[in-house]
Amino acid sequence: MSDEVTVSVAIDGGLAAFPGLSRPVTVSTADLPPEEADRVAKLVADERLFDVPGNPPPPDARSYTVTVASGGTDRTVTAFDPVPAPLRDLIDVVQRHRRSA
Amino acid sequence: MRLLCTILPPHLTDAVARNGGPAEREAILDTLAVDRSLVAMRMHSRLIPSALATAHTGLARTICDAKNSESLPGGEVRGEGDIAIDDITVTEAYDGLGATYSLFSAAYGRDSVDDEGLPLLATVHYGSRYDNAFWNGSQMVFGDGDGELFNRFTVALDVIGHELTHGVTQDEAGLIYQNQPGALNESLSDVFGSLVKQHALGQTAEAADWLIGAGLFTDRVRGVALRSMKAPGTAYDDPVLGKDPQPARMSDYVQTSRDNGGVHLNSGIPNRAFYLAAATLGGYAWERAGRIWYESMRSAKVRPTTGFARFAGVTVDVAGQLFGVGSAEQQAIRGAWNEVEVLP
Ligand SMILES: [Zn+2]
Repeated sequence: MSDEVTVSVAIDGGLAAFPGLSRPVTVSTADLPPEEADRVAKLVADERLFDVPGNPPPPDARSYTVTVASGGTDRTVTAFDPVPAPLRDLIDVVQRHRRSA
Repeated sequence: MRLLCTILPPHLTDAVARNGGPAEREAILDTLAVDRSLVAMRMHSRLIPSALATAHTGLARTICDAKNSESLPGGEVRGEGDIAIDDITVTEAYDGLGATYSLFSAAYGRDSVDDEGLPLLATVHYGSRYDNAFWNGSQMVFGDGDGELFNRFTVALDVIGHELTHGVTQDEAGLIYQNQPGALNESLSDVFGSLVKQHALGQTAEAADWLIGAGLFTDRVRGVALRSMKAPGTAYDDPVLGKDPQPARMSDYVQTSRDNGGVHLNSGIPNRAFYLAAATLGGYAWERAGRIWYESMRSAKVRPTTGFARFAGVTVDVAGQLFGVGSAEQQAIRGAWNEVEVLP
Protein backbone atom coordinates (compact mmCIF):
# COMPACT_ATOMS: atom_id res chain seq x y z
CA MET A 1 0.00 0.00 0.00
CA SER A 2 1.61 3.23 -1.15
CA ASP A 3 1.44 6.62 0.56
CA GLU A 4 -1.59 8.76 0.11
CA VAL A 5 -1.22 11.20 -2.77
CA THR A 6 -3.29 14.35 -3.13
CA VAL A 7 -3.63 16.03 -6.50
CA SER A 8 -5.23 19.40 -7.05
CA VAL A 9 -5.97 20.99 -10.40
CA ALA A 10 -6.83 24.65 -11.02
CA ILE A 11 -7.94 25.58 -14.53
CA ASP A 12 -7.62 29.19 -15.56
CA GLY A 13 -8.05 31.30 -18.65
CA GLY A 14 -9.46 30.09 -21.93
CA LEU A 15 -11.61 31.99 -24.40
CA ALA A 16 -13.53 33.40 -21.46
CA ALA A 17 -12.50 33.42 -17.81
CA PHE A 18 -15.45 32.19 -15.79
CA PRO A 19 -15.16 32.95 -12.08
CA GLY A 20 -17.28 29.91 -11.20
CA LEU A 21 -15.05 27.43 -13.05
CA SER A 22 -11.68 28.51 -11.68
CA ARG A 23 -12.01 26.87 -8.24
CA PRO A 24 -9.34 24.21 -7.70
CA VAL A 25 -10.47 20.59 -7.64
CA THR A 26 -8.68 18.16 -5.30
CA VAL A 27 -8.61 14.38 -5.28
CA SER A 28 -6.90 12.08 -2.78
CA THR A 29 -5.87 8.53 -3.66
CA ALA A 30 -7.46 7.51 -0.34
CA ASP A 31 -10.86 8.37 -1.83
CA LEU A 32 -10.32 6.70 -5.20
CA PRO A 33 -11.17 3.18 -6.33
CA PRO A 34 -8.00 0.99 -6.22
CA GLU A 35 -7.33 0.99 -9.99
CA GLU A 36 -7.64 4.76 -10.18
CA ALA A 37 -5.41 5.19 -7.10
CA ASP A 38 -2.79 2.94 -8.77
CA ARG A 39 -3.06 4.96 -11.93
CA VAL A 40 -2.45 8.20 -10.03
CA ALA A 41 0.52 6.65 -8.15
CA LYS A 42 2.10 5.59 -11.47
CA LEU A 43 1.48 8.97 -13.11
CA VAL A 44 2.94 11.02 -10.28
CA ALA A 45 6.04 8.77 -10.21
CA ASP A 46 6.67 9.66 -13.88
CA GLU A 47 9.25 12.47 -14.03
CA ARG A 48 7.90 13.51 -17.44
CA LEU A 49 4.88 14.77 -15.53
CA PHE A 50 6.80 17.89 -14.60
CA ASP A 51 8.49 18.26 -17.97
CA VAL A 52 6.26 20.82 -19.67
CA PRO A 53 7.17 23.45 -22.28
CA GLY A 54 8.19 26.76 -20.73
CA ASN A 55 6.67 28.89 -23.52
CA PRO A 56 4.31 31.71 -22.64
CA PRO A 57 0.64 30.81 -23.08
CA PRO A 58 -0.88 31.05 -26.55
CA PRO A 59 -3.97 33.29 -26.78
CA ASP A 60 -7.06 31.72 -25.21
CA ALA A 61 -5.22 28.57 -24.14
CA ARG A 62 -6.32 27.33 -20.75
CA SER A 63 -3.72 26.94 -18.04
CA TYR A 64 -3.67 23.96 -15.67
CA THR A 65 -1.89 24.35 -12.37
CA VAL A 66 -1.39 20.90 -10.88
CA THR A 67 -0.11 20.33 -7.36
CA VAL A 68 0.94 16.86 -6.28
CA ALA A 69 1.34 16.35 -2.52
CA SER A 70 2.58 13.19 -0.81
CA GLY A 71 4.72 12.31 2.18
CA GLY A 72 4.84 15.90 3.41
CA THR A 73 6.22 17.40 0.20
CA ASP A 74 4.49 18.92 -2.78
CA ARG A 75 5.34 19.91 -6.33
CA THR A 76 3.46 22.26 -8.59
CA VAL A 77 3.55 22.52 -12.36
CA THR A 78 1.66 24.81 -14.72
CA ALA A 79 0.98 23.82 -18.31
CA PHE A 80 -1.05 25.24 -21.18
CA ASP A 81 -3.05 23.62 -23.94
CA PRO A 82 -2.12 21.30 -25.48
CA VAL A 83 -1.04 19.58 -22.26
CA PRO A 84 1.58 16.79 -22.60
CA ALA A 85 0.29 13.25 -22.15
CA PRO A 86 1.15 12.14 -18.58
CA LEU A 87 -0.08 15.40 -17.09
CA ARG A 88 -3.18 15.29 -19.28
CA ASP A 89 -3.95 11.79 -17.94
CA LEU A 90 -3.56 12.96 -14.35
CA ILE A 91 -5.84 15.96 -14.95
CA ASP A 92 -8.41 13.61 -16.48
CA VAL A 93 -8.43 11.41 -13.38
CA VAL A 94 -8.90 14.41 -11.12
CA GLN A 95 -11.71 15.76 -13.26
CA ARG A 96 -13.46 12.41 -13.26
CA HIS A 97 -13.46 12.36 -9.47
CA ARG A 98 -13.86 16.03 -8.80
CA ARG A 99 -14.60 17.17 -5.31
CA SER A 100 -14.47 20.90 -4.64
CA ALA A 101 -11.63 21.86 -2.34
CA MET B 1 -5.54 23.23 -53.78
CA ARG B 2 -4.67 20.47 -51.34
CA LEU B 3 -2.60 21.40 -48.38
CA LEU B 4 -0.82 19.29 -45.89
CA CYS B 5 -2.17 19.77 -42.42
CA THR B 6 0.87 21.62 -41.27
CA ILE B 7 1.63 25.21 -41.99
CA LEU B 8 4.49 25.93 -39.64
CA PRO B 9 7.42 23.55 -39.51
CA PRO B 10 9.04 24.46 -36.18
CA HIS B 11 12.31 22.69 -36.96
CA LEU B 12 12.87 25.19 -39.77
CA THR B 13 12.54 28.09 -37.37
CA ASP B 14 15.00 26.33 -35.11
CA ALA B 15 17.33 25.82 -38.04
CA VAL B 16 17.30 29.54 -38.82
CA ALA B 17 17.94 30.27 -35.15
CA ARG B 18 21.00 28.02 -35.32
CA ASN B 19 22.29 28.84 -38.77
CA GLY B 20 21.08 32.34 -39.69
CA GLY B 21 23.16 35.53 -39.41
CA PRO B 22 23.21 37.50 -36.13
CA ALA B 23 20.22 39.72 -36.96
CA GLU B 24 18.12 36.83 -38.14
CA ARG B 25 19.13 34.77 -35.15
CA GLU B 26 18.14 37.52 -32.78
CA ALA B 27 14.82 38.05 -34.51
CA ILE B 28 14.05 34.37 -34.54
CA LEU B 29 15.11 33.83 -30.96
CA ASP B 30 12.96 36.77 -29.87
CA THR B 31 10.08 35.28 -31.71
CA LEU B 32 10.65 31.85 -30.28
CA ALA B 33 10.66 33.46 -26.88
CA VAL B 34 7.18 34.77 -27.58
CA ASP B 35 5.93 31.65 -29.31
CA ARG B 36 6.25 29.85 -32.59
CA SER B 37 4.59 32.60 -34.45
CA LEU B 38 3.65 33.73 -37.89
CA VAL B 39 6.28 36.39 -37.63
CA ALA B 40 8.82 33.61 -37.54
CA MET B 41 7.27 32.02 -40.54
CA ARG B 42 7.44 35.27 -42.50
CA MET B 43 11.01 35.65 -41.38
CA HIS B 44 12.11 32.31 -42.64
CA SER B 45 10.07 32.64 -45.79
CA ARG B 46 12.25 35.67 -46.54
CA LEU B 47 15.37 33.82 -45.55
CA ILE B 48 14.71 30.61 -47.38
CA PRO B 49 13.68 31.56 -50.90
CA SER B 50 12.90 28.01 -51.96
CA ALA B 51 9.82 25.85 -51.64
CA LEU B 52 8.75 27.49 -48.38
CA ALA B 53 8.48 30.91 -49.90
CA THR B 54 5.84 29.85 -52.40
CA ALA B 55 4.07 33.02 -53.44
CA HIS B 56 0.54 32.27 -52.39
CA THR B 57 -2.35 34.66 -52.39
CA GLY B 58 -6.03 34.32 -51.76
CA LEU B 59 -8.15 32.14 -49.56
CA ALA B 60 -6.74 28.68 -48.78
CA ARG B 61 -8.53 26.82 -46.02
CA THR B 62 -7.77 23.48 -44.48
CA ILE B 63 -9.90 21.85 -41.82
CA CYS B 64 -8.45 18.98 -39.81
CA ASP B 65 -10.14 16.61 -37.39
CA ALA B 66 -8.37 15.71 -34.13
CA LYS B 67 -11.01 12.98 -33.55
CA ASN B 68 -11.27 13.97 -29.90
CA SER B 69 -7.56 13.61 -29.28
CA GLU B 70 -5.28 16.51 -28.33
CA SER B 71 -2.79 15.99 -31.12
CA LEU B 72 -2.54 18.81 -33.62
CA PRO B 73 -3.37 19.30 -36.34
CA GLY B 74 -5.10 15.94 -36.94
CA GLY B 75 -6.09 14.54 -40.32
CA GLU B 76 -7.35 16.74 -43.13
CA VAL B 77 -11.07 16.42 -43.77
CA ARG B 78 -11.71 19.38 -46.07
CA GLY B 79 -9.44 21.54 -48.21
CA GLU B 80 -10.14 24.70 -50.18
CA GLY B 81 -12.84 24.19 -52.76
CA ASP B 82 -13.73 20.69 -51.56
CA ILE B 83 -17.42 19.94 -51.22
CA ALA B 84 -18.94 19.93 -47.76
CA ILE B 85 -18.80 16.75 -45.70
CA ASP B 86 -21.50 15.54 -43.35
CA ASP B 87 -20.15 17.26 -40.22
CA ILE B 88 -21.66 20.58 -39.17
CA THR B 89 -18.53 21.46 -37.17
CA VAL B 90 -16.33 21.14 -40.25
CA THR B 91 -18.80 23.20 -42.28
CA GLU B 92 -18.96 25.95 -39.65
CA ALA B 93 -15.17 26.11 -39.36
CA TYR B 94 -14.73 26.21 -43.16
CA ASP B 95 -17.40 28.88 -43.61
CA GLY B 96 -16.13 30.83 -40.60
CA LEU B 97 -12.60 30.99 -41.97
CA GLY B 98 -14.08 32.18 -45.26
CA ALA B 99 -16.17 34.90 -43.57
CA THR B 100 -13.13 36.09 -41.61
CA TYR B 101 -10.95 36.21 -44.71
CA SER B 102 -13.75 38.05 -46.47
CA LEU B 103 -14.05 40.84 -43.87
CA PHE B 104 -10.31 41.54 -43.82
CA SER B 105 -10.05 41.32 -47.60
CA ALA B 106 -13.17 43.26 -48.59
CA ALA B 107 -13.02 45.96 -45.93
CA TYR B 108 -9.27 46.42 -45.48
CA GLY B 109 -7.62 44.85 -48.53
CA ARG B 110 -5.78 42.35 -46.32
CA ASP B 111 -4.72 39.05 -47.82
CA SER B 112 -5.22 36.64 -44.93
CA VAL B 113 -3.73 36.69 -41.44
CA ASP B 114 -0.25 37.80 -42.53
CA ASP B 115 -1.39 39.89 -45.53
CA GLU B 116 0.64 37.48 -47.64
CA GLY B 117 -1.99 34.85 -48.28
CA LEU B 118 -1.21 32.62 -45.32
CA PRO B 119 -3.17 29.37 -45.67
CA LEU B 120 -5.72 29.09 -42.86
CA LEU B 121 -5.77 25.99 -40.75
CA ALA B 122 -8.36 24.97 -38.18
CA THR B 123 -8.60 21.79 -36.15
CA VAL B 124 -12.04 20.70 -34.95
CA HIS B 125 -13.11 17.99 -32.48
CA TYR B 126 -10.09 18.80 -30.32
CA GLY B 127 -9.97 16.92 -27.02
CA SER B 128 -12.75 15.25 -25.14
CA ARG B 129 -15.69 17.45 -24.21
CA TYR B 130 -13.21 20.32 -24.49
CA ASP B 131 -14.80 23.63 -23.44
CA ASN B 132 -12.60 26.04 -25.33
CA ALA B 133 -11.14 27.39 -28.55
CA PHE B 134 -7.68 28.86 -28.94
CA TRP B 135 -5.02 30.11 -31.34
CA ASN B 136 -1.79 28.19 -30.85
CA GLY B 137 0.44 30.65 -32.68
CA SER B 138 -0.13 29.14 -36.09
CA GLN B 139 -3.62 27.66 -36.24
CA MET B 140 -7.08 27.67 -34.70
CA VAL B 141 -8.28 24.91 -32.41
CA PHE B 142 -11.93 24.21 -31.52
CA GLY B 143 -13.38 21.92 -28.87
CA ASP B 144 -16.77 20.23 -29.04
CA GLY B 145 -17.89 21.58 -25.65
CA ASP B 146 -19.12 19.35 -22.84
CA GLY B 147 -22.75 19.51 -23.97
CA GLU B 148 -23.80 20.45 -20.43
CA LEU B 149 -22.63 24.07 -20.26
CA PHE B 150 -21.17 24.59 -23.71
CA ASN B 151 -22.06 23.68 -27.26
CA ARG B 152 -19.43 23.16 -29.96
CA PHE B 153 -17.17 26.20 -30.24
CA THR B 154 -17.56 26.60 -34.00
CA VAL B 155 -21.21 27.57 -33.46
CA ALA B 156 -20.34 31.25 -33.00
CA LEU B 157 -18.92 32.99 -36.09
CA ASP B 158 -17.47 35.81 -33.97
CA VAL B 159 -15.44 33.25 -32.01
CA ILE B 160 -13.87 32.00 -35.24
CA GLY B 161 -13.12 35.61 -36.21
CA HIS B 162 -11.78 36.20 -32.69
CA GLU B 163 -9.26 33.35 -32.96
CA LEU B 164 -8.03 34.34 -36.42
CA THR B 165 -7.66 37.95 -35.34
CA HIS B 166 -5.16 36.75 -32.72
CA GLY B 167 -3.04 35.77 -35.71
CA VAL B 168 -3.45 39.22 -37.27
CA THR B 169 -2.52 40.95 -34.01
CA GLN B 170 0.48 38.67 -33.61
CA ASP B 171 1.57 39.61 -37.13
CA GLU B 172 0.98 43.37 -36.78
CA ALA B 173 1.10 44.85 -33.28
CA GLY B 174 2.62 41.77 -31.61
CA LEU B 175 0.90 42.71 -28.34
CA ILE B 176 2.12 40.61 -25.44
CA TYR B 177 -0.56 38.44 -23.87
CA GLN B 178 -0.38 39.86 -20.38
CA ASN B 179 -2.02 42.69 -18.41
CA GLN B 180 -3.14 45.77 -20.40
CA PRO B 181 -1.46 44.88 -23.71
CA GLY B 182 -3.00 41.42 -23.33
CA ALA B 183 -6.45 42.86 -22.63
CA LEU B 184 -6.04 45.09 -25.69
CA ASN B 185 -5.02 42.02 -27.71
CA GLU B 186 -8.20 40.29 -26.47
CA SER B 187 -10.30 43.33 -27.30
CA LEU B 188 -8.95 43.52 -30.86
CA SER B 189 -10.02 39.90 -31.31
CA ASP B 190 -13.50 40.68 -30.00
CA VAL B 191 -13.78 43.81 -32.17
CA PHE B 192 -12.86 42.08 -35.42
CA GLY B 193 -14.62 38.87 -34.41
CA SER B 194 -17.82 40.85 -33.99
CA LEU B 195 -17.19 42.70 -37.26
CA VAL B 196 -16.76 39.37 -39.08
CA LYS B 197 -20.26 38.44 -37.94
CA GLN B 198 -21.76 41.85 -38.70
CA HIS B 199 -20.14 41.85 -42.16
CA ALA B 200 -21.40 38.34 -42.92
CA LEU B 201 -24.93 39.24 -41.81
CA GLY B 202 -24.88 42.70 -43.41
CA GLN B 203 -25.76 44.28 -40.07
CA THR B 204 -25.42 47.93 -39.12
CA ALA B 205 -24.11 48.96 -35.71
CA GLU B 206 -27.71 49.44 -34.54
CA ALA B 207 -28.80 45.98 -35.71
CA ALA B 208 -25.80 44.07 -34.30
CA ASP B 209 -26.06 42.28 -30.94
CA TRP B 210 -22.44 43.14 -29.98
CA LEU B 211 -22.20 39.80 -28.18
CA ILE B 212 -19.21 37.48 -28.31
CA GLY B 213 -20.08 33.79 -28.37
CA ALA B 214 -23.86 33.96 -28.65
CA GLY B 215 -25.14 30.38 -28.99
CA LEU B 216 -22.20 28.82 -27.16
CA PHE B 217 -24.10 28.21 -23.94
CA THR B 218 -26.53 25.33 -23.67
CA ASP B 219 -30.01 26.23 -22.47
CA ARG B 220 -29.02 25.16 -18.94
CA VAL B 221 -26.87 28.27 -18.58
CA ARG B 222 -28.35 31.57 -17.45
CA GLY B 223 -26.70 33.85 -19.92
CA VAL B 224 -26.66 34.97 -23.55
CA ALA B 225 -22.96 34.88 -24.47
CA LEU B 226 -19.36 34.97 -23.21
CA ARG B 227 -19.16 38.74 -23.32
CA SER B 228 -21.11 41.83 -24.28
CA MET B 229 -19.21 44.65 -25.96
CA LYS B 230 -22.18 46.95 -25.55
CA ALA B 231 -22.71 46.23 -21.86
CA PRO B 232 -19.65 44.48 -20.38
CA GLY B 233 -20.49 42.56 -17.20
CA THR B 234 -24.02 41.58 -18.26
CA ALA B 235 -23.51 38.55 -20.55
CA TYR B 236 -24.24 35.87 -17.94
CA ASP B 237 -25.11 35.37 -14.30
CA ASP B 238 -25.22 31.66 -13.61
CA PRO B 239 -24.98 29.44 -10.51
CA VAL B 240 -22.18 27.35 -12.04
CA LEU B 241 -20.28 29.87 -14.18
CA GLY B 242 -20.65 32.79 -11.80
CA LYS B 243 -21.39 36.33 -12.90
CA ASP B 244 -19.80 38.01 -15.92
CA PRO B 245 -16.86 39.88 -14.33
CA GLN B 246 -16.05 42.31 -17.15
CA PRO B 247 -15.58 45.99 -16.28
CA ALA B 248 -16.86 48.72 -18.61
CA ARG B 249 -14.65 51.63 -17.49
CA MET B 250 -11.14 52.26 -16.17
CA SER B 251 -12.25 52.97 -12.60
CA ASP B 252 -13.45 49.33 -12.49
CA TYR B 253 -10.23 47.88 -14.00
CA VAL B 254 -9.54 44.48 -12.41
CA GLN B 255 -6.07 43.87 -10.98
CA THR B 256 -5.50 40.13 -10.88
CA SER B 257 -2.76 37.58 -11.45
CA ARG B 258 -5.23 35.13 -12.95
CA ASP B 259 -6.03 34.88 -16.65
CA ASN B 260 -2.67 36.46 -17.62
CA GLY B 261 -3.57 39.53 -15.63
CA GLY B 262 -7.26 39.55 -16.47
CA VAL B 263 -6.93 39.72 -20.26
CA HIS B 264 -10.48 38.41 -20.73
CA LEU B 265 -11.82 40.72 -18.04
CA ASN B 266 -10.34 44.12 -18.79
CA SER B 267 -10.91 43.73 -22.53
CA GLY B 268 -14.41 44.93 -21.62
CA ILE B 269 -13.08 48.50 -21.40
CA PRO B 270 -11.69 48.89 -24.97
CA ASN B 271 -14.56 46.70 -26.23
CA ARG B 272 -17.08 49.20 -24.96
CA ALA B 273 -15.04 52.08 -26.39
CA PHE B 274 -15.27 50.47 -29.82
CA TYR B 275 -18.99 49.86 -29.43
CA LEU B 276 -19.59 53.47 -28.37
CA ALA B 277 -17.59 54.83 -31.31
CA ALA B 278 -19.41 52.55 -33.77
CA ALA B 279 -22.83 53.32 -32.31
CA THR B 280 -22.19 57.07 -32.45
CA LEU B 281 -21.08 56.87 -36.07
CA GLY B 282 -23.87 54.47 -37.10
CA GLY B 283 -24.01 52.49 -40.34
CA TYR B 284 -21.70 49.55 -40.96
CA ALA B 285 -19.21 49.45 -38.12
CA TRP B 286 -16.43 47.90 -40.19
CA GLU B 287 -16.39 50.89 -42.56
CA ARG B 288 -15.31 53.70 -40.23
CA ALA B 289 -14.74 52.63 -36.61
CA GLY B 290 -13.37 49.28 -37.84
CA ARG B 291 -11.11 50.91 -40.39
CA ILE B 292 -9.70 53.25 -37.74
CA TRP B 293 -9.04 50.33 -35.36
CA TYR B 294 -7.49 48.28 -38.16
CA GLU B 295 -5.10 51.01 -39.24
CA SER B 296 -4.26 51.69 -35.60
CA MET B 297 -3.29 48.09 -34.90
CA ARG B 298 -0.93 48.32 -37.89
CA SER B 299 0.60 51.61 -36.73
CA ALA B 300 4.29 51.60 -35.85
CA LYS B 301 3.29 53.51 -32.71
CA VAL B 302 1.58 50.39 -31.38
CA ARG B 303 4.23 48.17 -29.83
CA PRO B 304 4.12 44.84 -27.97
CA THR B 305 3.75 46.62 -24.62
CA THR B 306 1.16 49.20 -25.69
CA GLY B 307 -1.66 49.71 -23.21
CA PHE B 308 -5.12 51.25 -23.50
CA ALA B 309 -4.21 54.95 -23.34
CA ARG B 310 -1.46 54.76 -25.92
CA PHE B 311 -3.66 52.75 -28.28
CA ALA B 312 -6.53 55.19 -27.73
CA GLY B 313 -4.22 58.07 -28.66
CA VAL B 314 -3.24 56.24 -31.86
CA THR B 315 -6.90 55.70 -32.83
CA VAL B 316 -7.58 59.43 -32.39
CA ASP B 317 -4.55 60.29 -34.56
CA VAL B 318 -5.51 57.73 -37.20
CA ALA B 319 -9.08 59.02 -37.27
CA GLY B 320 -7.66 62.47 -37.92
CA GLN B 321 -5.46 61.17 -40.75
CA LEU B 322 -8.22 59.14 -42.39
CA PHE B 323 -11.20 61.44 -41.90
CA GLY B 324 -9.76 64.83 -40.96
CA VAL B 325 -8.78 66.54 -37.74
CA GLY B 326 -11.94 67.55 -35.89
CA SER B 327 -14.08 65.27 -38.11
CA ALA B 328 -17.18 63.57 -36.74
CA GLU B 329 -15.21 60.31 -36.82
CA GLN B 330 -12.38 61.70 -34.73
CA GLN B 331 -14.81 63.23 -32.25
CA ALA B 332 -16.71 59.98 -31.90
CA ILE B 333 -13.52 58.05 -31.21
CA ARG B 334 -12.27 60.56 -28.65
CA GLY B 335 -15.67 60.68 -26.98
CA ALA B 336 -15.83 56.89 -26.74
CA TRP B 337 -12.44 56.61 -25.01
CA ASN B 338 -13.40 59.45 -22.73
CA GLU B 339 -16.62 57.71 -21.69
CA VAL B 340 -14.74 54.58 -20.63
CA GLU B 341 -12.25 56.79 -18.75
CA VAL B 342 -9.22 55.88 -20.86
CA LEU B 343 -8.71 59.39 -22.27
CA PRO B 344 -9.39 62.62 -20.35
ZN1 LIG C 1 -8.75 35.52 -27.36
